[in-house]
Amino acid sequence: MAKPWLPRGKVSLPQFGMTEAQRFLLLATLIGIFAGLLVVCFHITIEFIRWYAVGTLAEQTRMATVLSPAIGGLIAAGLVWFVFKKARGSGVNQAKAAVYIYDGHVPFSTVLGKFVACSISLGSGNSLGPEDPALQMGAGVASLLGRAFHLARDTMRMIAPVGAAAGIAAAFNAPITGVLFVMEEVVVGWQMGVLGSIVLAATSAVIVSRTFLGDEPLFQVPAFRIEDPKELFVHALIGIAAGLLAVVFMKTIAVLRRRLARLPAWTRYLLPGAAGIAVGVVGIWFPEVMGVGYEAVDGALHNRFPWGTLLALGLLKILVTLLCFSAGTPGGMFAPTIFAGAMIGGALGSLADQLQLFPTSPTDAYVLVGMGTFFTGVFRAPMTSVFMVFEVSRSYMIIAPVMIANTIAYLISRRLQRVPFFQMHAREEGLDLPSVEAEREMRRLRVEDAMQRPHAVFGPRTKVKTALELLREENDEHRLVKIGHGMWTWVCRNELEAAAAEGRADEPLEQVIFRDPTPRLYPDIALDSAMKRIAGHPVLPVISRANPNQLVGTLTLRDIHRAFGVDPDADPCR
Amino acid sequence: MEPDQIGLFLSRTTPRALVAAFTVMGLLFLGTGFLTRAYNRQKQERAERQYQAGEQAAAAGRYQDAIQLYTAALALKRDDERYLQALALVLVKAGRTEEAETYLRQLLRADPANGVANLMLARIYAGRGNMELAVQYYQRAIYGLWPENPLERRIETRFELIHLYEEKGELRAMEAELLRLLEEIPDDPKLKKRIGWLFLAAESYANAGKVFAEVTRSDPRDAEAFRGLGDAEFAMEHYFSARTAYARASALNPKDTRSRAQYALATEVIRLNPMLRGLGSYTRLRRSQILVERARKALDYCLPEDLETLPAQVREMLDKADRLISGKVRQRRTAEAVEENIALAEALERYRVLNCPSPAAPDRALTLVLRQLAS
Repeated sequence: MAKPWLPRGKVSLPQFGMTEAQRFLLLATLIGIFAGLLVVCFHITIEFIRWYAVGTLAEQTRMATVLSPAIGGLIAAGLVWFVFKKARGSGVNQAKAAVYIYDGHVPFSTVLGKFVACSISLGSGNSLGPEDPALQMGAGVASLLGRAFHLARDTMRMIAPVGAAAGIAAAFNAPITGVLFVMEEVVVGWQMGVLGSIVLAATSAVIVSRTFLGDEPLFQVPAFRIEDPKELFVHALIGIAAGLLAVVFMKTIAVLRRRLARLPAWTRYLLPGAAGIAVGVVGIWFPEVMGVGYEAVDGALHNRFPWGTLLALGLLKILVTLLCFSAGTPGGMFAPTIFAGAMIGGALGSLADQLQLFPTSPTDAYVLVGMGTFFTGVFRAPMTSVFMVFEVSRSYMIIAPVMIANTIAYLISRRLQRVPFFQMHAREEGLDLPSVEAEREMRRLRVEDAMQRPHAVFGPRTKVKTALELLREENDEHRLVKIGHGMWTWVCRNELEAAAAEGRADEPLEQVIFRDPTPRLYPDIALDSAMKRIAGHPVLPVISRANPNQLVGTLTLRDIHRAFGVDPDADPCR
Repeated sequence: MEPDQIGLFLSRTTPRALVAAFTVMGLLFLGTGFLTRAYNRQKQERAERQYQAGEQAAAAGRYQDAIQLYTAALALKRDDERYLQALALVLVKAGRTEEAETYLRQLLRADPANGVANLMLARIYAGRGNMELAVQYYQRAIYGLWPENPLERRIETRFELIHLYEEKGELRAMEAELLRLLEEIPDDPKLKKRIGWLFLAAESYANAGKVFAEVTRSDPRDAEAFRGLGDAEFAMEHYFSARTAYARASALNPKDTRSRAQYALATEVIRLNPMLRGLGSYTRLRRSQILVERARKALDYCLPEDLETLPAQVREMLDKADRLISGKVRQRRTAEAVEENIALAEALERYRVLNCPSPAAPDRALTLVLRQLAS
């Protein structure tokens, strides 16, 4: 059931002559600004740590490359285990938990914990991303503001997704991506009311982020073009490869985390260090896989790597991310999935070019198409990934290839991995959160699924005896009466019998029934919404939206029960 | 105060919460501002350091190191055109043209009139043999913006395009570019001479002649210009003018043996031509007989020892020539006799061109005279 997004209780924000909805939008703007500022600081802190811990690609020494991720991972994980205990776990799941379990409450210590721990782990070169922590920090800031302004419980629940959208939008520097991700992954069901606030918060956050960090897109993307329609086969192949790899990735994570959980408790404190050393060792030969890795994606977009290197980078990134994530190193998974997808796409595109089966685009075009495929395969957020690539590339031409590749990756992932990544992870954390994917695909019953064919209806001048005879003849208890243009009501057999007993059998119905017109239903409205309206009525008219006088069906409570598969007389105890 | 208590503190009263929110926001703005400034300064310094190191590496020919350093600089400051350009240039030098192309395109997206980027792309496409795109980017480079010495760079770019046309044998396009270039250049004899020689290569002799003549007018002591003028006049079969120009060139530069040789050749062509104005009938006849004699002699090296193996028509032609040379035939000083001799010389020369294994003319003066007479 859709939750009301407006508060039922009193909101303590000053009135300023504004409606509650407008005040909520104002708060959304504040949330966006705070989240944007926080993400800017987060980004800068990661960069500073990276410069001093590892250095840029041209400055890296072997010692720093091997030791930095290990030390960073140990410190970051230590902080999460001993200082900021509530900052553990996935940001997306924590934001969802805030909506569905904790009434919008996200402890502020989570924000501080995520900020400090993830800055250290990402800055020191661990192969994870900043977007998921940014999302959780946004949700935390929003929750703090919501509490500060005494928001009612229902509104508080909606405040976390607003902050989450602001956080992720600022991290990606892409407002539409932020909004879509939250609508696809955090909020179950599309609620237009909260959408406005989410958009506003995401936009404010991106504006703040661009004010401080500049309005450069995440990647410098070359102009996209398709040389030959046959290239779509390569795009489809990228989708297949990314989808399969995503399934392997998720299944391996599940197995690895299960096995690691069985190890003695003390070993878990060492695991991030071990994963960090693995990252460092790989980083000696492939420094691109270290850290967030967007520089390498930018390099791939500029055709820096041959296909073999691209493939190696993609697979190694998946491997080191698996290790870091399974070891419990703080950080998110968005950036690594984008990295891996981009490299796999580039590798396959470049290989197609080498084979010269047909004219192909430069490798950068395939890098761009591949970017969202692994992301889709893992997170099952196809709309987000399509729009993310669109927002990054700013090219309309890319929509079709990206949709083909992403849809294939999504379908393969769905087919071969039943439980989505976030749900799998939530279960590990002991949370039972609603699946947005399941909700999105659940078939909603509508009035047309339950309504009955209309019987003959009575008019206002139909005589009581005529109506009564008909009802007796058809053994019916009630019947609809059309009382005016698009207005309907109903009459019961016992009412008519009572009127006849009073000697009013020859009177028209309009002089016997004095009842307000009944609510009208349309075939396309949700059945649960019809259920709310049927209280106090034995039958409701289902009319055409084009012609309110045209009765297309009738609906009774029994019809609704039947559609939902409920037998009201059945006793489950017997 | 515990972090979770912050919310409780802020929420006691709404005005206080609002004031607190805006105060914190203001402080956060200030803090972020300071942090961003420090970050940008640090980023700028690091990027510049890597860029300078890249410059040194590139100058020392260590292209791979330079690429890595420029890339690192660019990762820090992605919008810096200097870094982009330097990286693209060194990538081209290292032969990584595909990668260079994407950076050049990025540069052009920011500044479509960037002369350097357009020129580099033109070279990449020329290298790949894509003339259409190469010419397109050369033209954009020519009309693009150049930070230093724009006129000089544009002229050099057009010269590069002209050489590309020459290489591809597109002489008409080459001539057209040369004409455009001629309009653009300043009054510089060196450039004009360069254009003059290219006009000659484009077989645009009249234009070449004009250009060299202009240079000789402005500097009558320019031997190279006279040589160029001589070549242009010679190519247009203006042998008198060519001889004059070559004479002047070799006088101004006694070491110029080529001009001297060309002078001699032009003189010989003039001396051989029986159709020049002002010649007496005897001289005309005699010159035409010399043409036959030289044409017959030019055939010597490729005729078989046994002439009987030749077709009857050829034998007859050779016999006729031999009889004329030996004086067995007495000719009258008539125009018909002269024309008959010229026709015979032409037939002999045609036979030589078609049947002798070496196409090189053993007697260049003869060939030139016959060509002039035929035209």
